[in-house]
Amino acid sequence: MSEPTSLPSPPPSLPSPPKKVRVLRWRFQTQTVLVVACVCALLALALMTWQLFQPKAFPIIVAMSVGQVLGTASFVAFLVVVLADLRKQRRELRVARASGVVGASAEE
Amino acid sequence: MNFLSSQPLAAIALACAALSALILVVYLVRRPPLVRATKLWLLLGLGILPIGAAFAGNVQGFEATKEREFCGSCHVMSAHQRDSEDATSQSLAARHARNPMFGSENCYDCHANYGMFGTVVTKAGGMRHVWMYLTEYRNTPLDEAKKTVTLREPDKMNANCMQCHSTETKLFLDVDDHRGALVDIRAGRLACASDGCHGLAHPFFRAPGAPPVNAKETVR
Repeated sequence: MSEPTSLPSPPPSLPSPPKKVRVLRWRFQTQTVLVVACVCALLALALMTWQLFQPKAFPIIVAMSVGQVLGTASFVAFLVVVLADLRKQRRELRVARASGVVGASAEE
Repeated sequence: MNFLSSQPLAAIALACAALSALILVVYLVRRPPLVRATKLWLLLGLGILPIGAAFAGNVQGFEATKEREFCGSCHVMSAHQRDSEDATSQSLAARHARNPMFGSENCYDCHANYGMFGTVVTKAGGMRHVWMYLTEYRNTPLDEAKKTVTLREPDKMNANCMQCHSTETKLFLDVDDHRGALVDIRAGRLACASDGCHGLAHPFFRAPGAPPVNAKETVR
């Protein structure tokens, strides 16, 4: 299962940043996406509950359109982050196995 | 408390939304690393609970769209709503509203399409109402709207009456006028809700001094 040669190597002029920097960058990116997703979800929940207290045309239409879109988008963003995280963990596990570091934890 | 006990779907939607909001706020405040436990909590907060809230809220919302209060929330329909709620009104709409089988959903019961996809077709038609309201009637004074708002398909109105009044019973057929005009009634050529028959559904829509209203001009 070792396939270190299939990994893309960085160009010689641009050395890849140290692992700690990459980890921090990754965590910052995922956290940003998740924070935006959480805020969108909170907004969607507010719109969805607004229609319950004020069952008039505008709140119901907004809840069933904007609310649904925001809620769905936030859930999709979460799924994308989780999938990307799982892929990253797998990749790191493969690299660790290939380099002989057995038992390296994929979960940082 | 009465609101929640009388509307269990709303209570479920609110509970799901509150739990979800709690999880999301805790995440936003603490910003924990994305470990398995965080993912599971976020799955609840961003996925399962909001889906529950959306599902229960949407069903509750669809039910709310059947209410007379909802129909009357556009100002051009407020006169219809007031007439329906008038305990002394003799209009068809008001008389039906006093029937517990119709009750507070009398607008929907009389105007909704019938059949398997009736609800869907009605809601799609409702979107056309929203569009027309936003583009044409939003700033129209009520008195002017009373004279201009009309049924889009008055020929189909009898079909809605016939959801309950089948035109097949002996009581119905014993009336000479019904028997004589049976074909026209069933075809929608002679409106049940017209001046010569059972009166207009919403009588105030006739402008003062207006000529007699025929089936084509029957108001919404």
